[in-house]
Amino acid sequence: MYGGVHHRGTNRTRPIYTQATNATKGAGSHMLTDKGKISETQLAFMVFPAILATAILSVPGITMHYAGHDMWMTPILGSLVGLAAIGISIGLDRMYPGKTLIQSSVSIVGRIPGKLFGLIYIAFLPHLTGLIIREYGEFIVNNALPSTPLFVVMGTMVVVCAINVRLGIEVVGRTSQVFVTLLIVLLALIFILLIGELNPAELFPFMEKGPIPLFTGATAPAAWFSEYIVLAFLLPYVNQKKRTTRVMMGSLVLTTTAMTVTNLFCLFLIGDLTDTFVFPVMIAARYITIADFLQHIESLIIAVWIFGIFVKISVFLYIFATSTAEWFGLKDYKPVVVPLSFLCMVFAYWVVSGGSGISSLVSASANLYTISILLILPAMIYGVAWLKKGWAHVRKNRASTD
Amino acid sequence: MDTSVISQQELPLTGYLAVDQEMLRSVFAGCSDIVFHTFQTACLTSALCVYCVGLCDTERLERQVLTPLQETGIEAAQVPLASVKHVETTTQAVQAILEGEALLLLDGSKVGTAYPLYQAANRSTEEPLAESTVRGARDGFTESLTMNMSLLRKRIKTPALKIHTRNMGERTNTSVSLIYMEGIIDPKLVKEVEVRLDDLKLRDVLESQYIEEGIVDQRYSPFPQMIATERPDVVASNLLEGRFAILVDGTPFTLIAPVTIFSMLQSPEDYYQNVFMSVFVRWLRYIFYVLSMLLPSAYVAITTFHQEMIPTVLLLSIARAREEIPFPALVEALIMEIAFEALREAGVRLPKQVGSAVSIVGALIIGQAATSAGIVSAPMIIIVAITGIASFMIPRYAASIATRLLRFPMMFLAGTLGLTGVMLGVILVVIHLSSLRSFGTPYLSPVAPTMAKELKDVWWRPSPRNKPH
Repeated sequence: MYGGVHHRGTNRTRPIYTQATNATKGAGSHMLTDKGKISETQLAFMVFPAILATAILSVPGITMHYAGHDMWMTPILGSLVGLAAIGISIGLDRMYPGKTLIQSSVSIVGRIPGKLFGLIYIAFLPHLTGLIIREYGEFIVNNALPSTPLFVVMGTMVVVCAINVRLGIEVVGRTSQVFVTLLIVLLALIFILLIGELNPAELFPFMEKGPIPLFTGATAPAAWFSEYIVLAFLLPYVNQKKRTTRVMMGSLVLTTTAMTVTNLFCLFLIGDLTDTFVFPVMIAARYITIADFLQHIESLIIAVWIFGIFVKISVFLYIFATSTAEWFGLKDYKPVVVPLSFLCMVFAYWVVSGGSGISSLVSASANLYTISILLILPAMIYGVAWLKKGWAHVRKNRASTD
Repeated sequence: MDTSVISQQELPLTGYLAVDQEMLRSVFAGCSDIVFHTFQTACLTSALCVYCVGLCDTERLERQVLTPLQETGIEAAQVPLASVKHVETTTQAVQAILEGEALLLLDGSKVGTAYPLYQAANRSTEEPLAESTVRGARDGFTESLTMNMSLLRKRIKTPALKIHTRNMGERTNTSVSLIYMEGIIDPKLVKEVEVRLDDLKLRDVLESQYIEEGIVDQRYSPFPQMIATERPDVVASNLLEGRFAILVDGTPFTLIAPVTIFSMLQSPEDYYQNVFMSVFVRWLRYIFYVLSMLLPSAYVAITTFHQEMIPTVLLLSIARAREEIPFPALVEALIMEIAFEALREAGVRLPKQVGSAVSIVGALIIGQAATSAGIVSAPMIIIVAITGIASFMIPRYAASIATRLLRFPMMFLAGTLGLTGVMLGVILVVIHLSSLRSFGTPYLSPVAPTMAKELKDVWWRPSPRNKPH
């Protein structure tokens, strides 16, 4: 038999010419810790479940609690936050092309404040990722596997996501494309099957208590929309930025629509009871019967939702890993993926101490916490960047007039 | 045979017949199929003809070479035969003889002549056994490289069809041809394949799998990264789509790459029949490809963890069937799947006459007796049967291997974590597929990454007029 020695050098995982295409990328991007590239469409596919996967479960209940029958409008209000987050991300990417938020902040506010700024994110991201993992675990344990230990449920998912993240952004992009396509098709199918059960009269009373509850209610979707700031970490990996703004606006519209439709369906189906359930969408799915034969397809919802949450955890784990690697100035992010996944797993236990469940953490105050880190901090950095640019411009003008 | 003896013979022919003859005799010592025939030509020169009995057409050798030389007095170069080669070194001489040419050495000449009188034990083209179609060409590749090349040339009559032949395998010296369409294929791809073939050092090449394993991107994957086919029309259509093919002498199985998972699920017949039928069959294949991997695990997961998903009436009948079964669904599924795989393997290996006995045993024992004995339930048998049919539906045999193998870990995941486990398994498979490349082409393209133009060949069957390339 022929021996393994003869195979030396023949098992290249990537042929020469794919590396050649990578070499043509922008000048500044050699600092990135991953050499892969994704397309704008793939980015949109990654962001969609990164926001919607958990929102679709929690947002209807929370917004119902605060905004009552007007809760369906809250995602529309909240999407303004998403618009701001997209604007900041794209603006920063234009000013500092090829740099993620962790890297550009150092250039904007100087080395030490910039690093401190990055540290906030490195401390916050495991918190957020752990929260998502915990939400996944609780959802599965409550709805599908009541006697399986939480650790097994969360652990298997984290292992799968870590494998995905270690394989690089190209693989994360492709897996998102596959799963998000499935997700959209199946969700649309579920919504179509539910149309017959709807009761649009639940829309009323309209603005019963004035617009104030609407704004309080909108903080929840706003917190989710602030997650659009992931773009600031992922835009440097996009290979051709021709229609970035348009694609991202499309993504925002799609996310807002999906969230509004989910809210509307929960309202029309369950009405006032929406906020008594932790996961109203699961209750809504129970209404589906096809020809009196197919019933209880909420397992299908769980299945679809696992795809979404997988993409979401992968995206945040990826951002966490690359941000940490960038912060420490590593050349490659891959070695840190496994320890950081483990850290997120630990955080999944730390974020919620009692047995009361995850719902307490996704409350209004928690939402403010998320918004302040995901939106206000980057907005401040972006503001400083603008001031610096303006100041440089003024100085230049003064120099030329003198 | 000691390879070192041959490789050291880089010596030129001396021109002294006795010396050269001694040299060749020492190389071929102990090879009774090599014939040394000494004679005198009409011009009274001593001559030696060396050939291999099984490979060389002795009758033609006598009629076209030996008789004219001995009787009419023409010179060696004047023998009326096409593509006569000149041989100057012993290595070339040995090579020529082993390839079935007749080598003629004349006393006093430092250049020998090799006559292409190749005639190997060949079968004629037959319908490919492993890939049959209702409509379409009936000829299949054979074990002869030259015949296979001619089958391709017959289909694509253009000089743009390039064929580069090389010898691979230190000991077997097998001819391996790289074939592609110039102007359609990406030139960088050709270069890449050539580099990979150059890098590949093999001692033996007996089948194309030897080559495939050495040049694919990821050797440790259940998914094939090259198509192996014995149909010349499949190779031709793939060449015209910008892929390359590797023909290996001695096997009818030709390798094609780069491939994607979708090309694995497409049959050449898709283009030979009505559009709607092809589209229907394509989707049927996609669905059953997924089913062949997931159906047993989905059954295990649903009956073990999610009984509420089953409609009440069906649930009752399944429960009735499973009532007296001593095993949990996972064990039941494992028993049946392993039995099925064993039956299938036995059916493939056994001679045709005995093969039918296996199917009778399989149908009787597994189908009837196992259910009535209360070892497995009837629904399980249905599941295994559908899974079996699903894996037979896949037009590329190699592609079905992946689902056959992955079925088992999927069942374990289903048995431990229910549908959640199955979903995790699916995610792992998709992660693997996303990271897989076949000669630089992402395995899941054109879906991920999306290539809008090629996408139509996935969900529809484009008309041959608008076929990409």
